[in-house]
Amino acid sequence: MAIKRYASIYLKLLNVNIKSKLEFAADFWISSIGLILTNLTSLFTLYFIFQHIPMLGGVSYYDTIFIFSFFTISTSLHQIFFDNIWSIWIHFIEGSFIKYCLRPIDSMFYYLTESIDPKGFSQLILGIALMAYSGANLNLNWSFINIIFLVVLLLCATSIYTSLMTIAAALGFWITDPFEVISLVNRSKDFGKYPITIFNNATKFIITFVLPLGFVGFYPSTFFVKDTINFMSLMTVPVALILFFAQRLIWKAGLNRYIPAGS
Amino acid sequence: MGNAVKFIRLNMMIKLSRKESFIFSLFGNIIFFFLTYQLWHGIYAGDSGISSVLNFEAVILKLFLAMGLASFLNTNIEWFISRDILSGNIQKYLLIPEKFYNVKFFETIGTSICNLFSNTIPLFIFIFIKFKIELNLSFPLFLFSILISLIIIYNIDLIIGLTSFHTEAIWGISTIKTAIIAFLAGAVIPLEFLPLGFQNFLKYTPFEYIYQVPIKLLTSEANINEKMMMLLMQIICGLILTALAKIIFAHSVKKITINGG
Repeated sequence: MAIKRYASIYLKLLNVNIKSKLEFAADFWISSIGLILTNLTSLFTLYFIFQHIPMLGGVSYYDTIFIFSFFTISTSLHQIFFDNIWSIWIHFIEGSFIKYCLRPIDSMFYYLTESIDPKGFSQLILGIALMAYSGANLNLNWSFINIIFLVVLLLCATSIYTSLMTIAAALGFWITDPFEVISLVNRSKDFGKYPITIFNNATKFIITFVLPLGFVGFYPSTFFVKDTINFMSLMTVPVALILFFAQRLIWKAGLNRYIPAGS
Repeated sequence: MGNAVKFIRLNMMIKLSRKESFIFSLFGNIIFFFLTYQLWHGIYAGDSGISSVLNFEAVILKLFLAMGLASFLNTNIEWFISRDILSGNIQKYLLIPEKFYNVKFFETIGTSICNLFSNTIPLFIFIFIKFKIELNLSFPLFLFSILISLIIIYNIDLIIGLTSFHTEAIWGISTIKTAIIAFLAGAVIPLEFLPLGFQNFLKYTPFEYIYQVPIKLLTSEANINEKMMMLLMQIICGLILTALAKIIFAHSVKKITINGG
């Protein structure tokens, strides 16, 4: 019952949001180009590096592009549906976050779903194109079961990244301005788009167990690249569940002590 | 001069008022530099001729210097300019004796000084110790060149901020600027890895004068005359962009319409 009610609210919010975003078509196109260019600079960097080396940490060029594409798709889904996280610091500083506490719906759901970001679709399309390109060159086996696994692992990877960003945002209940914390998680996410094999053991441990960004790109990708069911790729699902519940707990704990700024 | 100090100080106080942000910014940059170091270490681990382009130490030196300069010069002033235009707050600046162009430049300096302590100085101390860089005659030229870079970046940011007279948001154009400058000015990958023809083309663009001239002044073995020539070209680039930004501002400001009362 609750799910039906929240789905209905979400569709209404989505409808209003899309209409408001489409009012500024020029901004959408410029932003889309910006997002694609940002990704292309990373891609060109990989391309120029692979002109001089055959493998990166034992991973081939097309394997690396596949990891990059998986990472791009999962973070694009976050960008499209949960980009509102980036604005939370303004609400904390100005005290306007109180509005999300006064409605008869879950504050986290309300805040995260209040806005969508259509420019993220450009990045999503780029990610899908790169996955198709690298998949074709790797002769990946796109069986029905593999496609189901791909969808599940992509959703889990998106959930992991969103949970980490939400935890960073929720720290604003304690420190008021969480912008730099959100920015820190966002900048650290790049750890997930390269083969983890290039990092030393301490870094591998951190991005696997402490800030599990390896599960946003590298680990789930290995399921397809190696074409075998491996333990770490399957761990993406429990990690997503644990982080989902962790973000809920931290958000609620913060909300209980929230005192709006301002007079 | 008195006004400049006041505006710079005020902007620094605003930036420093949130200590947690300052600490997380420092921490975030350390992580980013660490990631870059490890990435390139991994690239060079299975050396298969990549050292013929540039050796590992040279890559780290060039990239870290460029990233350190990027941290120092990244003030996001275009966002504040855009916000002033879209909210109508720009009228406040047009009514005070100090020119809008100068006020925003002083604010840029204030933010850059904060960046210096949270990002650039820790990194540069690491670079100077690790690579045993000597503080000879090149060092004052390097410092002076950074100031010219600040002027170049400020004018680019101002032009981007002024696009708010024509659009409702500058996220897109600001992101394009950041991505292009980071890549073409050598803060993502050393330019030696790009095709030779493209490297030569970049020498005739403003990107050369943002990070590459200060880096070359510090690290290249060019003689003093060649270095002075690089600096001169950078100054000319700064002057051209200053003139361009002022012309665009003079035209844009005629379009101002403030709603409300």
